[in-house]
Order: sequence, then C-alpha cells, then structure tokens
Amino acid sequence: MALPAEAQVADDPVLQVRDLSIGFRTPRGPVAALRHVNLDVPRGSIVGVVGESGSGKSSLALAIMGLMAGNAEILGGDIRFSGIDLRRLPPAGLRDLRGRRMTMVFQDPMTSLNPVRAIGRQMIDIQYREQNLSIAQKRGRSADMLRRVGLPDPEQQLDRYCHQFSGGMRQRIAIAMSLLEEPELLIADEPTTALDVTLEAQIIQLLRDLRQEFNTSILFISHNLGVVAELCDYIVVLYAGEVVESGPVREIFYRPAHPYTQALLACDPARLDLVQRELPTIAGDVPNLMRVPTGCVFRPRCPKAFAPCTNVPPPDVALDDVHHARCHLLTDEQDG
Amino acid sequence: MSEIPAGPGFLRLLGQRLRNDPLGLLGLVLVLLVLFCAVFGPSLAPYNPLKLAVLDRFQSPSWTHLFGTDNLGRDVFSRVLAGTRIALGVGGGSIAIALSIGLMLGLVAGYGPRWLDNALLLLFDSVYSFPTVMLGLTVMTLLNPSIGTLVFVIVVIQTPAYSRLIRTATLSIKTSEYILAVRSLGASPPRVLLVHILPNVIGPLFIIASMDIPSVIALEAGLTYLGMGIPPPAPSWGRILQEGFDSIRDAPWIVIAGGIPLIITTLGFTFLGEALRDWLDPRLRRVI
Amino acid sequence: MLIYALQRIGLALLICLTSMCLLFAALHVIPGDPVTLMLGSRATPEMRARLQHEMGFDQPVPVQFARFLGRVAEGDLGTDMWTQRGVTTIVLENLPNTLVLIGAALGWAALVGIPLGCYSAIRRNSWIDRLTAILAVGTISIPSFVVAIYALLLFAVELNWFPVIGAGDAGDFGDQIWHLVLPSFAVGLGWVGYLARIVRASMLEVMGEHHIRTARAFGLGEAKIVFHYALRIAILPTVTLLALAIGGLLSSAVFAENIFARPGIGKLIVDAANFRNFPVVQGAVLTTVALFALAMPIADLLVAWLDPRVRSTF
Repeated sequence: MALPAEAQVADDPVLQVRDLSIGFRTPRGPVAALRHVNLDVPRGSIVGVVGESGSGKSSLALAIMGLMAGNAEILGGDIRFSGIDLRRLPPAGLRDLRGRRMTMVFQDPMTSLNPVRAIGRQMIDIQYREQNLSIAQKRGRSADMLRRVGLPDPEQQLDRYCHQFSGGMRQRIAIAMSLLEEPELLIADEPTTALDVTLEAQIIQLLRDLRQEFNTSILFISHNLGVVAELCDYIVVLYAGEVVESGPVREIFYRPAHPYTQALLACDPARLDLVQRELPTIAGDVPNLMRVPTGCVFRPRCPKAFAPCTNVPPPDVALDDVHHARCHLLTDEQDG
Repeated sequence: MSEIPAGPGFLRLLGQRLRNDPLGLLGLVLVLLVLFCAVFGPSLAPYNPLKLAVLDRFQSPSWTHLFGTDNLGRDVFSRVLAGTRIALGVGGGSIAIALSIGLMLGLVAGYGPRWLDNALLLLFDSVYSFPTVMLGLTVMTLLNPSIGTLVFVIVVIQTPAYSRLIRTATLSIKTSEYILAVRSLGASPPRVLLVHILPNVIGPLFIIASMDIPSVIALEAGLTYLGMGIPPPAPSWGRILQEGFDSIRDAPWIVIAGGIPLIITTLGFTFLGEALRDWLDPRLRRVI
Repeated sequence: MLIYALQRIGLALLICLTSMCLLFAALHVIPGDPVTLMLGSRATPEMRARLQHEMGFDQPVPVQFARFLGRVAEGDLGTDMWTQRGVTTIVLENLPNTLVLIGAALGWAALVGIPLGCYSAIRRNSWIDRLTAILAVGTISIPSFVVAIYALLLFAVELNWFPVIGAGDAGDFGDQIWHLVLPSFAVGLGWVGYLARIVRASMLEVMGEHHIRTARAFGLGEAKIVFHYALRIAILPTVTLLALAIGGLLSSAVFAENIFARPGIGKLIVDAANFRNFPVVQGAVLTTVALFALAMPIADLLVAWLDPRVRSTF
C-alpha cells in the first residue's frame, strides 16, 4: 500500500511491512499462514486490518511484535518499525522496543492480565526502563494513566487484582498499560471482540481520544467492519493470508474493488437497504492453507471468477495512489 | 473443496512412537524379561531355591552360583528367579481384585443415592489417610502374615483410589443425555450401570491400574522386608533383602541381588506404563 | 476465611474419627479375639483374664469404643502392654525424630527439585530436561528402601563416609546432621524427581497462558517473567501436592528408620508390630493418620492465603 502524497512529505511510516510471508510447522505439514503481505501504517493514523477467522490477522500482529509461537517462522519479507529492521534486530533489541515504543492490546481481557499480581505492580514493572523515577513516581504515573482511561478512584485500584474488575474495565487497564510509555505504535488485536456492544463503543471512543492526546499510531485488527469504519483512516482487507485490498476507509466502503470486499460489505446486516428474507452470505469455506490453491486464493468462492483466476495469481493493481486490490477483473477493466 | 490430508496408518504410527520413545521400548524389553522369568524362571533355575546347603553358605558370586549363596547356603540366583513369580503373582492378582471391587464400589457411589455416595467417600478418604505402609503394618499386626492376608492388605490400600476414579467418571456421565435417553426408555439401574456406564468409565482405569503395578510390587517387597509380609521360606525379593541385610558386611552380594530385580521390575513397568499412557490417553497425565 | 478453615479442619477430624472407627472395628472383627492376638496362644487363663479386664475387653463393644474415644480426646492413646508406659508418651518421644527426617528429606528434595523443574520448563528438550525426566521417572519408581539399603551399603559400609546406625548423640548438632545425611537422601530421592516433574508441568502450563505473552509484549525480562510472574502461579498446586506427599514420606520414613536403626515413629511401629503390641501400633498409626489428615487442609489454607484470587473471595 503506497502512501498518500501528503504523508510522504510529512513523515516516515511508523510501520512498514513488505512482502511478509509466515509459515507454521505442524505435525501434518507446513501451513502458509501469510503470503507476501504489504502494509503501511502512516505516522499518526489508524489502520484497520479486517478479515475473518483464519485470515492470518493475529499472526500478522504477533509477527510484528516478535511474539510468534515456537513453530512459526518468517519465510520472507521485511518489517520496519520507524525505519528499524525488526528482522535483523537481536532479541534484546526487540525486547527493548516492546512496551516502550510499540505495544499491544490483546483480544481476551479475562486471560491477558496476570491474575496474581496487583495491577499497580504490573504497571510499575512495565516502567522498569525508567531508571530516574522512584517507585512512588511510577505509581503516580500509573494512577494518572488509569484516570485517563476512565477508571474511577485510580489510587485504590492500583492495589487490586484483575479478577476484581469487569471485562470492560480490564480492557481499559490493558490500554492504560499499553500507553504508559507513550509508544509510537499500538497494535490492538480485536480488543472489543470479547465485549458487548456498549462497552465496545466506549473502548473505540477511548482509543480515538487517546490517539489524539498521545499521537500514537494504531494498527487495529478486527473482523467487525462497522467498528473499523468508525475508527480507522485506512483499511487492509486480509483473506486466507493475503492482502486482497487496501486503501482509505471511504474508498473501500463506497467503491470496493475486490469481489471479497464487495461480498463482505453486502453481508453486513447493517448495510442492507431492503428488508430481505435471507441474509446474504459468502458460499464456501476458507481454503486449507496446507494446500494453497494456485491462481487467486478467493477463486473457489468468487461469484465473478473467470478463466485466468484458476491458474494465474492476480497482480496487485493500483486503482490510485493509495487504493490497491488484487484481482484479475481490475486488469481487464483497465485494459478495455 | 478443501481436504485435510490423512495421517499415517496405525502400524506405522506404532513404529514411529516406539522409535521416538526409547524409554518405552526399554520398558517393554524389561517387562518382557520379567514376565519370562516369572513364567520360566523356576524351570530354568539351576538350584532349588529352598534347598539348604549350609556347608556352602556365604559363597561370593561365581560361575556355579551366579549371585552367590546366602546364610543358609541357598543359591541366591534361583531364589531371585523364584521371587519373580511371587512378585508378579501377588502384585498382579491384588490389583486385579482391587480393580473389580473398586469398579463396583465406584459405580455404586457414583450412581446411587447421595447419602451412600457421601458415606462411601468418607470411607475411602479414611482408608486413604493411612500412609500406605502404616496401613499395611496395622492390618498385618492384626492378621497373621501370609500371602492371603498380604493380598487383602494390598486390595484394601488400592481400592479407594480406583473407586474414586470410577465414581467421578460415573458422576459426570450420569447426567449426560444418552443416559437420560436410555433411562427414559425404561432401562433398569443395573442395566444402565453395566451396559451403558461401565464400558465408558473403565478405559482409564486399566491404564491407571497398570501404572500401580510397580508400587504394589514394591509394597509387597517392603512389607516382607519388615517381616510383616510373606512369611519365610518363600523367596520373596523382600525376604532376600531382609536376610541379606543382616549379613551386609560380610556378604553384600545378597542385598545387591535382592535389589536388582526390584529395580528392573519397577523401572520396566513404569517406563512401559508411561509410554502406553502417553500414547493411549495423554489426558491422563497425572504427575504421579 | 475462618469458616472455610473450620470446615476443612472439621472434615479432617471427621476422617480421623472414621479411621479410628475402622481400626477399632478391625480389632474386633478379625478372627480370634484381641487378647489371643496380643498374648499369643500360650497365655494362661489368668493372664488372659487380667488383660481382658485391663483393656476393657469384658465390656460391650460400643462402651469400649466410647471409652476409647474419650481417652483419645484426653490425649491418652492407651498403654503399652510390655512396658506399661503410656503410648502417648512413647509416641511423643519418637515423633520429633521422624519429623526431622521428613523435613530434611523434603527440604533437600525441594532445593534440588524445584529449580530443576523450572529449568526444564524454560529450556524444554535441552539435555538437562531430558536427563531430569528420565532420572525423575527412575527415582520415583525405584522403592525407597532399596535406595536406602544400597546407599547404606555403598556410602556407609564400603566407603565409610557416613555412619551406619543411629541418629547421633543428643546435643551434638553436627553429629546428628552427619547421621541424617544418608536416611534423608534415601527418603528424599524419589521426591526430587516428583517435584521436578510437577513444577515442570505447572510451569509449562502457566508459561503458555495469555498473560505471560502480555508480559513479554511489554518487554519485561525473561528472568522477571519466570520468577515473578510464572513461578508464583505455578508453585501453588505444588503446595497442595506436597501435602499429599506427607503420606508417602511417612511410609518411606518407616523403612529408612528401620534400615538405619534411627529412633522414630516408623521404627516404633515395626518393632511393636513384630511383637503384636497392638496398643502401640494403634496409637502410633493414629498419630500419623492425624498428621496426614491435617496436612491437607493446612496446605489448602496455605494456598488460599497465597493466591489472591482465592483470598479476596473471603
């Protein structure tokens, strides 16, 4: 995804992923989880990664943070964070970046916080790199951050344990922890999936406000189009490990170019114009990534598939500077 | 249409497993060795294990007496071989009996009325709260030591654990839908228990019980060592150890000979048991 | 918290009570009568009558049991037939020795086993991990009395590094430690492997949980994660399992005390059993049952206190 002209002048992207491919070694064979993924997060923007289960979005997030499981390996490509090549960084260097310049909020607030350590202690632990601050000062910073995310009575809360908080509050705490060191990039992996709708709205609003306040760039991963539409500036659509379309949010929503994106939007119940008997669906299943189909990965489920789709992988077509999609249909249209 | 590729066949899987698990293979070899000695040992023994030959007492190991002779001139090697039959017989037999009783009690406790369950549980826990050897010693004090009473002791010690296992499994199956379905079709409680519940709870029991073989054999040997097990002159390994211990300074080969079969047997059954359990049902991985 | 504690201890006492019933019933249910059991078949009628009267066997069974319970409640565990001393006194003389032995055994097992288990979990499939796994299974399955005998043979008889018998001179701490080495080694060896295995399993489970991944995401150092985040959680089930270990330790102590001729509950019971001295056997065994039965609720309470998730529900 190329950058819009204004962004290129202003700043380097905080995250630049080029041609990233990730595979998993399983007892039954290798799984090609991500293939040739390109992604940019311009400084100060919110980029949404949308995909269904199994599309590889969590793998992408974990790969960027260097937190992949033992049987995962990067097969090729580059990940650059503020110009730093993450693949060439030694583990100590990567660890130094984590929690300080790039942080992550995870999907399930019930299991992603340490259950036997008080919240305050965990927040102080995160600040271990601040040699000049005393424990009391670190506590103060932690309480401040809790207040900013909307927790009442933060001083008291520092001594509580996470099982004493509800799911929504735990997620706020997780966000507070992520922003303690004012990172440049916050990766949010489906932070609202486990929460109900009202809580979801609150968290989204919180992220927006905090982005304003700290100028943190956010990589927001979700399967929920509506949330992504509300929050993000750019969208990347992921299907079965490949980026099938990417571009500014308005472009994607009003002029979706890839059949998958079009189908996704058509399926969204909120967007139905007419009262219909049947909800539209996308027929078929996500392909087995141990045997990636030749040609276009979406072809088995694509209502518009035609001859070249079976054998030739579709090229990445630039519809304009920023809006890209991988589809043979677009080349045809361009040609004639 | 996407397809998950089929895995390798059963025999190949078994071969792979054995290759990957050298300990399991070793266990299998040791167990087979012990079984062989139990079955054929007494026929292959060079001497009569009970025959006294006081003139030959305390001979150190040599080609005529592989493990030497003991304080009464008996050939230790022959005694060790004969002891194999005792160890496996008592051990295997007691566990089999404990299994049967434990199964029945467990089914009753799990399926029967609440008060019965509570009463049985209290009984199990009370027996359970006796440290094993203490319980053995207490009962053997009350009864005259013999093979029968020893088997009785082992059964009493082992049954609570098996009953509890079956009880828990029965409890969880009791409320499942297919049991309700069968009951609504008019099946009587014994039928429900024997035909429908029993087959489903019995599997893990065999695996757990087989892993108790080493500790039961050790218990028999231990109690005999303390004088409260199988009475002399039966050549239980515990007996050999006990007699050898009295002359440990002058004839150390006796205790060494007595300990080796115990080590081989317990290691063999444990390695094999672990390998089988890992293979058949990794969920049973209790950490001993 | 208080109610929970009382409930658990109450249950333990109930179990003790049932155990006493069982013992009592066993004594009266066995073929032959208790008097013959204790005196042997060559006792004269006068001796039998005297013993019957002394032990109260001429009373109806329920009365006997009530009297027995009453005496136990007062701390009187009966009278040793041979020496006419109170069983309680005898037990209390011997119990500390056994506790020292068990404590030492568990102590060294924990000191070696827990770090081994931790290391095995962090460096999975390293040679230390594999070696520990094999040795663990091996030492757990080999009977502890065989280990004790071999240790005695090798280190005391052949090499003469350690003493063969006894607990050492009272008052001489160093001598007592010297006498403690081999027995506690023998009793504790199997538990090193046991602890290593459960700590390893527990750690592996905890290290795979999401909150550990979060800690890594915040760039925390591996040492901090292992010791302050993971081990704190992983050690909790270990405490519970250690309570169950008390039973096994007491059993192993019986052998160790016999083999090394150390005074203690184990030796007491075996000697008494060989002489059919039932009151002593009964009293000593009941004491161990009480110890074991109480160890479990105490461990549970300890875990409840250590684990903030449980603590805050009270």
